[in-house]
Amino acid sequence: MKDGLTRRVQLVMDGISREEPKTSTEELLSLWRATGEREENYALRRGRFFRFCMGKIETPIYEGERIVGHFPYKEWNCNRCCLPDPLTPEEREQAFARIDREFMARTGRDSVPDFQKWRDIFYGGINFGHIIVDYEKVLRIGFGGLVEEIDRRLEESGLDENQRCFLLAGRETILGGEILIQRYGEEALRLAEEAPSGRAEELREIGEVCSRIASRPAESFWDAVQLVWFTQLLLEIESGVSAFSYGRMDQYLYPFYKRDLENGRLTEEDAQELIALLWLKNWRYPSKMSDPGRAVTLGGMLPDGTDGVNPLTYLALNATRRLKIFQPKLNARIWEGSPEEYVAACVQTARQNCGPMLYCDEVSVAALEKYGYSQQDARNYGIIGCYEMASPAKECGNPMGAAVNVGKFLELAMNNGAFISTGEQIGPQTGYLNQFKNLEQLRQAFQKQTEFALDMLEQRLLYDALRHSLLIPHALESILVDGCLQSGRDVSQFGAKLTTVGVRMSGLVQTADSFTALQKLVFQEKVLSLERLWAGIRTNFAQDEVLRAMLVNRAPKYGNDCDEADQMVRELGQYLCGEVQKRRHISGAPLRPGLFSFLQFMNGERCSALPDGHREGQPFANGVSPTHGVDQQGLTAMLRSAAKLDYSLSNNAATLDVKLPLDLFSGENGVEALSQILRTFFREGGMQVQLYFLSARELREAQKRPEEYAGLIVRVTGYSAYFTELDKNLQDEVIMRTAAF
Amino acid sequence: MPLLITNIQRCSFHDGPGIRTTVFLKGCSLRCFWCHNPETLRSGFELRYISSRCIHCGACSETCRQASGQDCQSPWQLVEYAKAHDGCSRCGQCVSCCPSQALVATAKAYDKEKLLPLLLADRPYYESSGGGITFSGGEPLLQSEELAPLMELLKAKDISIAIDTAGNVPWKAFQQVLEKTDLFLFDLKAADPQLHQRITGSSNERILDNLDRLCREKAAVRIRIPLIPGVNTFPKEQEQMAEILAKYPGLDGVDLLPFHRTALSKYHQLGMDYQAEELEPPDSQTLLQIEEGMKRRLSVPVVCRSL
Repeated sequence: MKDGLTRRVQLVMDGISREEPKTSTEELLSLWRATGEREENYALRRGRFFRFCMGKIETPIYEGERIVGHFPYKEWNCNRCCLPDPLTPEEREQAFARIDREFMARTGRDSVPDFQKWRDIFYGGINFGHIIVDYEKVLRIGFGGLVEEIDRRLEESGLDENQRCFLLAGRETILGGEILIQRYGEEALRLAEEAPSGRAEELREIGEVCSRIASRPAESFWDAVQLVWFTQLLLEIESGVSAFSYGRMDQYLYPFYKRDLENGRLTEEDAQELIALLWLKNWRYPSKMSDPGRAVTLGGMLPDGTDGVNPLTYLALNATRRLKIFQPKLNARIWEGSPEEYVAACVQTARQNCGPMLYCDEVSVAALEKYGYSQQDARNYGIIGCYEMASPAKECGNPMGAAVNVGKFLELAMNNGAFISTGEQIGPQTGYLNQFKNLEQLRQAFQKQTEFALDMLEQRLLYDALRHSLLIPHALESILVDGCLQSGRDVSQFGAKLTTVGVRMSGLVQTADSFTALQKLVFQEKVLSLERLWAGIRTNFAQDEVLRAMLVNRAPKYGNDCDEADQMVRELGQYLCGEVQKRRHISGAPLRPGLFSFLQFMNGERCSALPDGHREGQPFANGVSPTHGVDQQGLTAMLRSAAKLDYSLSNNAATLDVKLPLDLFSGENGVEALSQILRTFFREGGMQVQLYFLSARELREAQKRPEEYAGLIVRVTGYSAYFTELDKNLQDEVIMRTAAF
Repeated sequence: MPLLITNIQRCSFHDGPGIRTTVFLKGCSLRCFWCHNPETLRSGFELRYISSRCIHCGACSETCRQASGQDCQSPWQLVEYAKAHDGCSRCGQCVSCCPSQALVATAKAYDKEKLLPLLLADRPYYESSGGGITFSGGEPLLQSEELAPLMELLKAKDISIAIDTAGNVPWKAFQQVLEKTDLFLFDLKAADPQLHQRITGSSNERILDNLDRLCREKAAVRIRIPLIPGVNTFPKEQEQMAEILAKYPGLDGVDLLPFHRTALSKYHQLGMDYQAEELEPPDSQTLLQIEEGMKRRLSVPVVCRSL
């Protein structure tokens, strides 16, 4: 036993690559059809189908496992429901037509706009998962308790047919879950018959755990860890693998840990092993999907205002540090009340590039309260997917539901509302860059384009929400989120206490730096003419590298603790977040602004050249990080720039990537120094930091000799991946950012 | 008089305790052949050409041609021309016209009023980490006259100040800053006066005298010894240095700084020859021996820093 890496853990880890799912969804579907089961209500039909499948899918238990449960399907897709859709093509078509009619009735339009035209400007879409369900409740009352709740609700009067079907679907789904857990228990007992003596006892114990927790609450720590995993697995089987996040796991598992430790039923080493085994259940599953976004939230302030760090917090960090795996994805909340030891443990873990992402509680809680959370809910926030803040068990916030390319607003503002590359008119006609007399005129054009596009996005999200609500119910997820049981409506029909969409924005910094460059070089110093700038932008600086060099070097840039540039980012961020939040989801809740991007999606490569020197096709920096290579004043200057921004409106997330050479903060002193730097940044008003350690040399070598660097992990926009598995462009981007440090 | 500064480096961890802002002052009274900061050596105007940034627009040569009539064909020639002192008026137009910051002046003059907000910017970071400001160089005490009033302003704000000095200045310069300095980082390059003369261009008499006085004044002093292979890494030389240092049990500590070659590109950019170009960094065996030897002979903490 060495820090939680027992032989068993190693054995299980080694086996992961051989565990491929074998169940075919096609076969299940034909078996289902053969039963002749027919239910008019789609939600209920899905519930019954789910229960049917849980009696059929494989229940493999692998060598050495103590935490069991394996994703069963060969065909999986993160953005589509894993269960095959039992709608016929005709039924589907009819449903779509109904949605179109309702959209037109709600918006007063006579057709559905061609949203495809807007694909480079914004993205909206149906966003499964991305939720933190009520794990605490599952552990407390068990699946049986959930069924009882549903039954009580079903007995109440005044339910309409849809509500009744929703509740019945939930009931079916949970019973399906019970069936699966029982089956795993039976499989364990069956295997115990043939196993050698040591393993046989273990398998019998697994059998007991499963049979205990199939419908009853968790009693022991092992029960609790296993039940958390089964719940996660069932959610992902029902809705697809898509950022179902664990919330504050160190909090809801702690009572079990404490009780078992006091009873002598558990040792710390045993707990560490169970945590490690739960981690491995999340690792490289299904198949080689490298980031399914299963976020765990650690530490931070509790609803009563005290600190939540406990021994489990450290076991969780330690498991990640020792296993060097980046799923589940750790997120650490930090505030004035956080112990030094905890912050140091976070930094030490981060040095493996396996997280955690770091959050400032004071700033995040204030932003969530401003959005409308109660103080208790705000203090209890957890992290979903990459960086998104949410209230566990209380909302279906679709935090990754929409993305906006802010750079594109500026492109349209410079080019009379048309794309520069194609000339296609997309927004209102607001004039050309070379016609503006001052910065204010450009700003007004920019605002017109922004507001027009965001109105269009609002309609797009309405359309998405309608489609979502008619097509895909998620019964289990719904039963496990506050509000649905009471409302009798599925999360996809906005039954949760809060339903909205997060709108993540990329290109904020490049757009603000563009305004700064124009202000400085064109309107103040008058060293550049608008004619020359406009010609350079249209030709992507092909004939005028001097112009681009001036834009890059002669104008101040965000990230250098220069007020002039930083203030521009602050103001633009406030404006954009404010405009997003003015717009509403179909549920009536305001949209939630976020300042981050996901992978390269909706990034700079789809934007024309910009006056900050951005070239067409280049990526933007993530979130509130400075443009790659322009921050030249060191880490503290970059952090001071970032701390000047107003995070009270970016309640979805606001990400700062901090790239550090691996050797910079080595040793105990290094960890201590970096811990102090991070705490100071948070004290100064920073919101989130993602640390990223590496050397450019190391990465260039890795590019040349991928085989020697297969284990090298990098973090890119909230996403961890093996460097050598990234495509060349993304590799180059990572190297560029590293070299620039 | 303004201060002549080559660089202000924020978030520095290696020039004293905690998180610091290090200010590199221009001009030095030694000429150590391995110097890591060649741009700080001379006091006058110099150009530095960073070719990797250059977009080859030719603006620098053209501007110089119009301003001075000098026909430099390349930025390299401009660097040489400025160095030669014969004709270059130091108008700086070649630098200000460069769009890509490839051609830069090695130093900038700052008034203390302009410098103060820059130095205070990271104050919250100094406070949380026990850091502050370090004046380094070059030899910062060559500008002690101008430095003292700035330090006065910083002290009024309760900022901790370190001075990284090679000690080769009149004692008067130390006197000007003594009261306001929280820590001296005092370089010791060699114990043997002749060796010192050979490798730095000056004897160490005055340096050792200043060290002695500083210690007698009960100033906080931390010794920094660069370890230059084949120059001062011999056992005899190390012994002699230890002998000197053993006289001062009140030292804050001794840092051993192994030679590294990272300054090479700066020499090229300045059009200077790097005499340590062929020098290999000391091997870990040697470093270990030196560190152990020092630790054996001294009662104060000895730390070997590796970069």
